[in-house]
Amino acid sequence: MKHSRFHGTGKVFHFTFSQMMKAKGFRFTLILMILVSALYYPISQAIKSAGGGGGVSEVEQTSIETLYVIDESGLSFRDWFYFDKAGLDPIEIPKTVSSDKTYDEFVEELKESEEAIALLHVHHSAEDGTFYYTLVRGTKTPVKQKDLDVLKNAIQEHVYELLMEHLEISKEQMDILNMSIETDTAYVDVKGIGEPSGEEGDKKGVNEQQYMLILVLLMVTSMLISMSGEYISSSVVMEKSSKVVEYLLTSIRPIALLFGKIAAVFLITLFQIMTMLICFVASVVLYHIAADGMSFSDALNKLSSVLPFDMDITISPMGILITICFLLAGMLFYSLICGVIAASVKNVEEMQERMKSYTLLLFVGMFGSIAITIMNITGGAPKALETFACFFPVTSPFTVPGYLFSNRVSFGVAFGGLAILLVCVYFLLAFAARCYEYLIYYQGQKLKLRDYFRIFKSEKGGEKNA
Amino acid sequence: MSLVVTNLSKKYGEKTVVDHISFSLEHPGVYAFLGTNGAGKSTSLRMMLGMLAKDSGEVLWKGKPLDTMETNVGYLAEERGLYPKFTLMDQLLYFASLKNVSKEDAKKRIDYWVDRLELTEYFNPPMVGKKKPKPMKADQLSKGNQQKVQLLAALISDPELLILDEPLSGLDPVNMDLFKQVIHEQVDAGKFIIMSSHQMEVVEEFCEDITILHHGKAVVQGNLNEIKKSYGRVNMFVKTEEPIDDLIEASGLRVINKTPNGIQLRVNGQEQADRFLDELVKGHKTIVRFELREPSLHEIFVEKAGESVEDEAQ
Repeated sequence: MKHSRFHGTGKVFHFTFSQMMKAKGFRFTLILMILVSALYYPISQAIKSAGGGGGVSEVEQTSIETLYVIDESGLSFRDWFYFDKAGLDPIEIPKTVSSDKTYDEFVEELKESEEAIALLHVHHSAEDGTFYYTLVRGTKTPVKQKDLDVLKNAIQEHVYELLMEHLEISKEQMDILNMSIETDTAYVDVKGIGEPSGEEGDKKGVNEQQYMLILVLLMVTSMLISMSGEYISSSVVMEKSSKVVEYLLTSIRPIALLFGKIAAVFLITLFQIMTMLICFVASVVLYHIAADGMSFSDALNKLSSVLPFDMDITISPMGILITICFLLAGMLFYSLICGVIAASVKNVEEMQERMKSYTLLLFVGMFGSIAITIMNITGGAPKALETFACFFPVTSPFTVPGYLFSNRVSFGVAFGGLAILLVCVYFLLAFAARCYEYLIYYQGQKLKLRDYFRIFKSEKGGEKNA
Repeated sequence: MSLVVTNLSKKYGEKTVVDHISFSLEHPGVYAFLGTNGAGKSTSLRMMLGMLAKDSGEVLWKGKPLDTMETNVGYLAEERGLYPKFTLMDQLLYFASLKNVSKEDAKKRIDYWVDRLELTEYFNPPMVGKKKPKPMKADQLSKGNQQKVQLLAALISDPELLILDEPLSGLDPVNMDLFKQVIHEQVDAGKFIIMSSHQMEVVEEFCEDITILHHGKAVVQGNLNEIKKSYGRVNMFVKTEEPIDDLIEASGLRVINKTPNGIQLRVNGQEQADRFLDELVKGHKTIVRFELREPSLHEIFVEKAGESVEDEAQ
């Protein structure tokens, strides 16, 4: 029976996977990751509480003895004495005094004052139509920044309630009033609805939430790709330098050997990410059940405040599928390059030097994608550049997943990028299959790109094996 | 015929490292590949196994091109290798699975060979107090024991064809005897073995057919006994109590070697040897040793490799 050239991939996968799971280093890293993801939320909440950031049910003490108010806004303020509205962090200020002085006069006084006083300056800017509530403390007073921060949060909520009261509207109505309104234009032709071209259409930046989402997905992809690349290269070099590869090649084709490793690394990395995510979710839920006495479903709902569910994102099964395909294809793309370069390395000592070209390519992919995202947040990258990053196989695995979920690229572009990436992976596979076989005995100098192509084109090959 | 190798060639750039090698194995036994370092032995073996692309030639096993993915071939590489940080059992089970040996069979075979190759203490280390010892890793073994584990790996699939590249190099005399016994057992079990070696006395012990490679070319090839016969009885060893240098010079004989045990001379046949014996008797020399025999493989090897070098120089 004639075996395919991928015969034995499953056995390599199984061995690599089980050995990676058994490795002490892996176990240590996994435990560390579990601890970090499980403890991050409870500890950050505890620190927040200790720093007055919220979550304290008792009335908080402040070192401010007198809060002077200079109200230049025209709004009426009542009951400055006690901020205890529902859902606010309660805070007690002993004395609130409305000052007749101007802001500049009071600030001059505050510079030299050693009393436990602070100033609340309320004013309205006609330029941007915003009400400002500015809290000022003198550096010689015993009032600390922490006191101002606590007060700032309380005031913000208080003003919000005052407005509702003043306008005689409910919270739901207030939320509707606060909803952001975006206006846009589109055109429709025989192909369907399209976005307008030109300067307006080309420069549409990302908001902070989208930026975070893109960055998180980019980090996950980078982690997957760089971890797999690192493992593949060290594994290939180790097998070559320890000469095990000679024995293995009597039972398996080189490309199946490489492929089995890549599959194992992919699953391991996915396992690590899923473990971290599950630990984080479990820690959030358990924290709220234990600390706040919430029910399981309420605690689960709390996740929406820590996970980006309220972002302007679209999570669809197709989007998830495309993202997984991009991760897989991206890993394959980079790992195959890594494997081929690593096959030309004689021993572990040489590895870092020889892998420079791979590292450079990885940096171009990662930082190219980050650069475009940063350009977007600071004003907007040209649409053409964004589309190029989605089609270019070096950048597309890092770019498309985040852009797809944050609705910055259409499914059409994502499919196009994926198709190009898969075609590149296919050719790279053929290239790697040929080069890897010839390079596995190579003991010579660093190869240039044209040398790899010469090996690929060579009918007989093996000239470089000496 | 079971294995037929025809016109196997390999070039690295302008340098020919294997130059049209042909040989065949008709029945089970050991075929020897001999040669100096860099003669092309390992390259030939790697090409036969399909690990290196050949420039020309054909390797047939039972009438079909040899494919190690389909034929059960065992291989002991010259540059030995095991995964240094993985346990011995794990890697042997992996190697066995790649050879399509089931886990149960692999475990049975490992148990057998661990016992046969005297590796029990490394695979089943004794208990230290009540503590179960950790399984051993390859880098915890001596070089000789690693070599035994690699022989085990080559034999784990119970191969039909066994290719051993310098199997005895670096072994101590005890382990060398153990390896020889195992090779004898494999021959008795009807296996086809191709072996490269530097150790001529070992090859003489095992092999009926040989190829001596020099700079990629087969300089001597065929049945070892026939090769020796073709040289005739040309090696003469003489030891006398009196000096015989003048007689040797007068007879025009070539001195090959001089040792306290006697003088090794090259004659061109029985007649020349008889004439020299007459000279010794006439000269009243006290003869302690007079021996005429075929050249050893070592002598043939040194002579052929030497001749080739001289030819090239000319």
